[in-house]
Amino acid sequence: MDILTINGVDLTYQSALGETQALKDFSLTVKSGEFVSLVGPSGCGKTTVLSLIAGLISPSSGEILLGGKKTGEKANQVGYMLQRDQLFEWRTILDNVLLGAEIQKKRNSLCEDYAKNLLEKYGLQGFTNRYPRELSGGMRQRVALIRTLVLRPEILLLDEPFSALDFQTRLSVCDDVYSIIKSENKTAILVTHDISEAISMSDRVVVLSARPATVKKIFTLNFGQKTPLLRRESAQFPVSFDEIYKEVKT
Amino acid sequence: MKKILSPREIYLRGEKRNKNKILILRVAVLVLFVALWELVTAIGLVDTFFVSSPSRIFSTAVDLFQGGEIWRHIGITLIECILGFAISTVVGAVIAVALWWSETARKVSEPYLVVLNALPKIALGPIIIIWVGAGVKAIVAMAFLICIIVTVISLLNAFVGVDEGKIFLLRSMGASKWQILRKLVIPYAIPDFLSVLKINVGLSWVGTIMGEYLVSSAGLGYLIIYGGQVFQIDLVMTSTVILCILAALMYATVALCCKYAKRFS
Repeated sequence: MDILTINGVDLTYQSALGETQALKDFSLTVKSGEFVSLVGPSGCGKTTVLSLIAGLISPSSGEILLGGKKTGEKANQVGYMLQRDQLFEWRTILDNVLLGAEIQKKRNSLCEDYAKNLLEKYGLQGFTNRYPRELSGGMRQRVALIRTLVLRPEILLLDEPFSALDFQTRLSVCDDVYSIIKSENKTAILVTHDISEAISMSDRVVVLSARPATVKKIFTLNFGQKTPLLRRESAQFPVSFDEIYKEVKT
Repeated sequence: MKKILSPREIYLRGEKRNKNKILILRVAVLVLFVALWELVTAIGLVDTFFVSSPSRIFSTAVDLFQGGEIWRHIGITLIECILGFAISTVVGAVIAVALWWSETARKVSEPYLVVLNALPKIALGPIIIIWVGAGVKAIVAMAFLICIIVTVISLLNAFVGVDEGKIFLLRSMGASKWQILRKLVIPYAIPDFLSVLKINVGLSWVGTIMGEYLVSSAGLGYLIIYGGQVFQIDLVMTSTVILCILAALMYATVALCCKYAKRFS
């Protein structure tokens, strides 16, 4: 079942410097439970695609259907994970995780239990009442992911969520995030400039062109349910990397 | 036998010694200053008519407190200062929130804030007296004017400096502007708010005493000015010392509150 359909979307925005066409005839469909990555030259508008899906900006033309409904009609079906964890230092881990529920006035004992469950399930049981500064970078990113899961979003939008981490941490957090998303059976779209990261996590890798961004080519990967670290060890990995790298370069 | 110390113990002992040294030197500076002052006046090297002396300050203080009249002066000055401090902090915070809320208002007010910040507020003294009348009201108004601009500018800077990423996150969760203010901007700015409080304690004293110099019939600033006019240097010095102690106490109180608030935020 297609959970997300982006159909011929154009986006032009105005600024003091002039008119910028960010997206041109952009189309993409994502199936439920799929993990899709967007890669492309920097500044090509990858993040813009996520903002469109989240309904934070509207397309100039074309349509975006999320779960069969136009975005903007039904808010908050998405869970956003950003470059930095953006945890609020003055809130405990539990309160951070429940931020979205609080904003949407849905905080109750039921969703608190769900949040505690998730924290426990993903190795943060002893930290519910701690503060973000007491956690490592990897743990903080896991908290940020759980914060998005608490709202039970239909789709997760990951905007370079690992780029602020050092390489060692990045590999292990990548594995963590992948397995959490898989075990919660979520659909996810990852924006990254790191091709190997895209290959290690996704079912499909979408290569975008330079601005105005359009879908240049889609690579379907066949790693099955292998975790990111195992994928990196497989013989297919460098082959896929070469193919995608060439496509991004040209 | 002498005990052999570990490097850690030697380090800690050194640190402690250093700390004690600073404390002793601090007290020594004060004692030396007072002693020297007393000495040069006692042997007649300098005339107490111009510089007073520690012993004369002490006896003047004893007289003042025995007379009881001083309590009224202290009370009036304290009330003026606390009112100026409290009103400017509250009003300043409200204005800062309003300017954060409306970008138009923020941009329109920007040049005015800059000019008002640069303006020496004492220049407004005559206007204040004409508008609110001489007396306590004028003095509170002076303290208020001195504090308010700094409060607005510092708090607004803190509000505007909130991490864009965090605002984006809240918006992606569907947060309203009001929720962004309550859940993010205000808690984020609390450390800045606490430092504004500390700055305002000092500034409200400046405003109060300046106000009392301009118009007053009571208060420590009045005593200082009065003492100066009738050439009673003992009264000027004694009032100044009392003022120092009060200002230090008020600052310490606010600093203590800040420390307490920080621990629970």
